[in-house]
Amino acid sequence: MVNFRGTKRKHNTKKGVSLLIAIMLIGVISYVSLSMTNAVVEATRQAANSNRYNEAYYAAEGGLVLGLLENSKHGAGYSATLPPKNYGGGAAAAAVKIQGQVPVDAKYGSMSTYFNMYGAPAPGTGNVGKDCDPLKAFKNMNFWYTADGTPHYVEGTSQPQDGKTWFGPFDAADHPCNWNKIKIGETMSIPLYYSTTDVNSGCPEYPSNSGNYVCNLATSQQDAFILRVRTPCGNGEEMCLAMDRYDFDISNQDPTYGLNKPIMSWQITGADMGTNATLVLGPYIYIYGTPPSLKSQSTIIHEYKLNAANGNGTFEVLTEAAQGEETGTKCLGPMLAYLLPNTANACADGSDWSSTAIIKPVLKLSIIQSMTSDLQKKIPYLEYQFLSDFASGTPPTDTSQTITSEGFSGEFKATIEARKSQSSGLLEYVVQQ
Amino acid sequence: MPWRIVCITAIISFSIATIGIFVVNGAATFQLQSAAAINTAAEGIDALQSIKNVNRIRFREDPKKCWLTLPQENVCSAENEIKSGYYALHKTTNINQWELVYTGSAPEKALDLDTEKEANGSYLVDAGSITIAAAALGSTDFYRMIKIEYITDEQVTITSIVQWKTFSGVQTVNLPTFLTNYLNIDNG
Repeated sequence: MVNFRGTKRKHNTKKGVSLLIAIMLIGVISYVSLSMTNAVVEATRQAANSNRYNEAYYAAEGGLVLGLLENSKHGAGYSATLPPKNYGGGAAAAAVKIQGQVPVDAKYGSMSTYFNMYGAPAPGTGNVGKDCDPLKAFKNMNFWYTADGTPHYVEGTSQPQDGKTWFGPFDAADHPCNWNKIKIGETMSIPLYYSTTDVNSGCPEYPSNSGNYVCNLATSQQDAFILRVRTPCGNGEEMCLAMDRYDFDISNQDPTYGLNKPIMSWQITGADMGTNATLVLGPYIYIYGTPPSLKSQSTIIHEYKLNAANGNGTFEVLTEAAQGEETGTKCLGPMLAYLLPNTANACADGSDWSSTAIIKPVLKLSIIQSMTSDLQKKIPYLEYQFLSDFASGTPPTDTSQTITSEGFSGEFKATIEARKSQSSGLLEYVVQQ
Repeated sequence: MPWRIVCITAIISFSIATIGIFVVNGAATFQLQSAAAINTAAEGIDALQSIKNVNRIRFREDPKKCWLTLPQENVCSAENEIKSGYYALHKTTNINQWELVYTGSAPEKALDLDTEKEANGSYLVDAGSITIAAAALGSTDFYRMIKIEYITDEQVTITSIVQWKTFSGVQTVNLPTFLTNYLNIDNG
């Protein structure tokens, strides 16, 4: 009895151990199988994702060159949205946006001295500041600046109380991301027109480019524009008080201009719509006395004017009312008078500028002189900003054409942006993934 | 009897594990092959973009007409123009010199058949173009074709097609994009 019971218990114990081993084996194998399945699924997913991302990227790249082609066919100030385009029947598509005008919502706000004016470069797209982002542009509130760590800029009228050294408050328009650089020898073009394919625009069709209409921005005596130019900060930072910017050295006698040398020249060029003749309006240059001296009333941008603009912190050096001089006849008149059709200028009888409108007028800026500060340091570049309030309400043409292409494939998106300066054919690329 | 259960379970388990190792190894190889195929296709597009850019310098006297001249030809003419159709893309023995060989209107499907391998040998991607070790790729041959379709004189669709064979059949990666001659447009 006892032996029988003992044998049965032994047999049951063996069965139990076997079952336990079998369950453990099945458990281990199940775990390993699940891990392997997971690895297989992950590998397949990664391969598919890699392909999807490449499809999205090359779709964006294809969209970008389509946008650049479309932009090339029209020119400065052309804005358009191209419908999403499918590629070769595949899954990828790209949507393209061409932005040639300053965006409609990019006006300066009521806190700014330049309330209701558009700025070119468009706020947040200038190249004086680092990491500029048009989505975080300063265009409404005043701001404060600190060099002591990030964030360097804070919006508001009250000084932040965090122990750091803050400078301000500055006008939103003074933010470095709202200004562009111009260096010695460079010429920057600010088109005073925009291009459109809208047949109802009421603008003339450009003779050699059928289907492309060119609209002048200046259409009324009420139009206003301001060119602001300032020197960079003497300490090398991107932002500072006006008093900490370079001042020009006005102690050296120049044989032609005296103590006040011209620094930046400007021109408005265009074509006469009636005769297609090239028209050029330059700055008024008044040199007088012995030894000769460049007088302050000259509208070429000179050292006295730049020092004064720095001193009062406005940085304003040219407006639509500034006197321009025809290169041929030397006739004088306000810039705006030359831009408007059928408007008399100071010497209407002898003017090269006919009564018909100028077509494709462009304001060109160039630095014509090496620049030295009152502390005998070389000034590397100037910063400029063009503000406008055209009576038509039309946003001005931006300083560069921006072509943005977004490629999609499944859940993947690749964005490529190219900026083409109105002044040169060079492209600046930004790739967002 | 109880140990028999353990043995049977062990045999089944090891069989499953062995199959699993093969499957995982296959998946890893497939992943490597896919990566190689995608990069090979991307290289095809980059090559066409490079050909276009170099043509702008080579034929600067008439970049509007010559922007899509075959890279191995030194004369810009209608005969030497890259036409619509399928091309094999190679590096020539000269360093950094691309060569596009017109293969007519042969569709990519021809690569499904082993017998077509010889006939389509010109599609075979040069070993030098693939940076991943051949052993890791399972000694697989990759075929790349460039399909060119003109939309206008200034705009073409290019599709880089890469195919390779696996145990489950022919795998294909298609990478389409556009090329345009945007630098040579006169807007008046």
